[in-house]
Amino acid sequence: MLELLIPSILETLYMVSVSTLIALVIGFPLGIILVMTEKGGLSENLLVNNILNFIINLLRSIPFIILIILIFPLSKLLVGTMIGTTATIVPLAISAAPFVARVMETSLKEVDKGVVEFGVSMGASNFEIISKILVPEALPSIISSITLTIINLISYSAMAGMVGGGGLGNLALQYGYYRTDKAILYAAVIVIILMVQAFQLAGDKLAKSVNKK
Amino acid sequence: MIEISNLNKTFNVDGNTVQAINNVSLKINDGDIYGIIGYSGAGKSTLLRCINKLEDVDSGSISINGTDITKLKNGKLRAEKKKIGMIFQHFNLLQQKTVFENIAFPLKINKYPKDKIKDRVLELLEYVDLVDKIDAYPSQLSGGQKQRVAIARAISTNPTILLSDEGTSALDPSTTQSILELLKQINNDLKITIVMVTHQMEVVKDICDKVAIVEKGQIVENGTVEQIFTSPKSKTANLFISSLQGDVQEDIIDTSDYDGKIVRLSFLGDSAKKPIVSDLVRKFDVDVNILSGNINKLQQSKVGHLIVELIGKDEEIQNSIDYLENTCKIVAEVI
Repeated sequence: MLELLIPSILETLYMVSVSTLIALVIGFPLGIILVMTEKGGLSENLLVNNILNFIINLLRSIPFIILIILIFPLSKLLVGTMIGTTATIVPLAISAAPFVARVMETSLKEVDKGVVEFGVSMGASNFEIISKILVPEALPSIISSITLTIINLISYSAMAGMVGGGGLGNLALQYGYYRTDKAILYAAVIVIILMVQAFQLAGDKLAKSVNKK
Repeated sequence: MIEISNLNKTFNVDGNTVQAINNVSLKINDGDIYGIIGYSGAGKSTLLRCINKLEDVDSGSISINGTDITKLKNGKLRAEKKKIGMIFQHFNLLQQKTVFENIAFPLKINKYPKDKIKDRVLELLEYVDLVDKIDAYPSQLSGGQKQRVAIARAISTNPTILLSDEGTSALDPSTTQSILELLKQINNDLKITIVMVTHQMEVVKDICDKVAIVEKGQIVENGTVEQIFTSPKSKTANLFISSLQGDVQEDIIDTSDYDGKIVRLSFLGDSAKKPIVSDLVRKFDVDVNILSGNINKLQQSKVGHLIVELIGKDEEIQNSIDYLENTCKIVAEVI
């Protein structure tokens, strides 16, 4: 069983880690833009804010399983194939990016307005306020948000297994469902549960250890 | 010098326009400790926040050593802001950074030579007496310690002006005293002009040289603290002065309970030392009944208030009041 489980675990970790990274690269700046352009923000721009909000809400309202199918042509364009672990990363990243933008926005908004005001009062530039005040002050909350994203992606990656992606979801489907190998099915589920628990525990620990508040 | 002329600022609150600052003009000289006092919502904080352009103004100008800050933008504005330090009611320290990093923050932003940052921070920590807290985080400090760190941070880049937005309002009375002492010391040692917004007359009494009383977005009265204490003209100024503990309680004295004339005497500095009561009795045919009295220590001098009942003929009473005002230079006001 192990020879089946281990490659699947690695595939899941690969899909989750790469798509988390891509989602962060796209979603994190979007979250910052949302906070900066909102009403009363440092560079208030309601037009940009509204458009961005609309796009994020739109992407978030599409069910993931449908998004995968919708995105097949894009996956093919980007990675040359529609199935397999690498192809699955495309819909995973695209579905997680707006989620990341939203949770980052929430994390950054939690920062006390007073410290931002201190930055403005001492003549720091917007870039300095973001990079040296907002993000460091929000760091514990940002870590929690990333944990949340990873856990979401673990569950989504299992779903992606249903439509040709690899990983634990695919294993459970292929062996557990089609071949009715209950042992594999349960093993896959247990591994997923353990993975979620481990990431949650590690995320909480890390967030707590960096928080000096 | 800070010169505010014809400043106007409105806010839009739920579709209603609120005039936060209404045609305010004010001159603050270098080295002053200038108090801006008013009740909440009077516009005092907004006025202060206009000085370092935390708020945009609608019209008017704020010139700081000849530069109109309201006209500046971006880089030039940021450069000007670096000459103005600010402390806040809730300290606004970076919670995720140590005391050292908090104080070093403006230095780093200002491209202070890296190898000198540590010495500068240590020097500032010594000045505010918190060297042992260098590696502590704000959450481990008391309110007074937090404000000391904030003060060290605000003066780290040698600003010429320090703004305090209710800097002592969140502190208990004894901590307030120690923070005020520190501010006074900074004003004295570093010749930094301090503009402080407060709703506590105690604060004005203890450290300010001059004061402006703000009400409904306007300055209703301003001048030296001695002037305001000896002859407050506006009702608000009177209310603030009587809010001080141990002050003459005019409300308690019901003039109809007395046959004579009730007179409120305010005297400043040297006149406080003269034996005026026995003077009056000797020179005029009046009896003097002391109803209440107190003395307030100000930054530069002392202001005394005395409420007396003068009993005698009207003419004699009038003569005594004239004598007090003209010869003794005491403000006498019939209540």
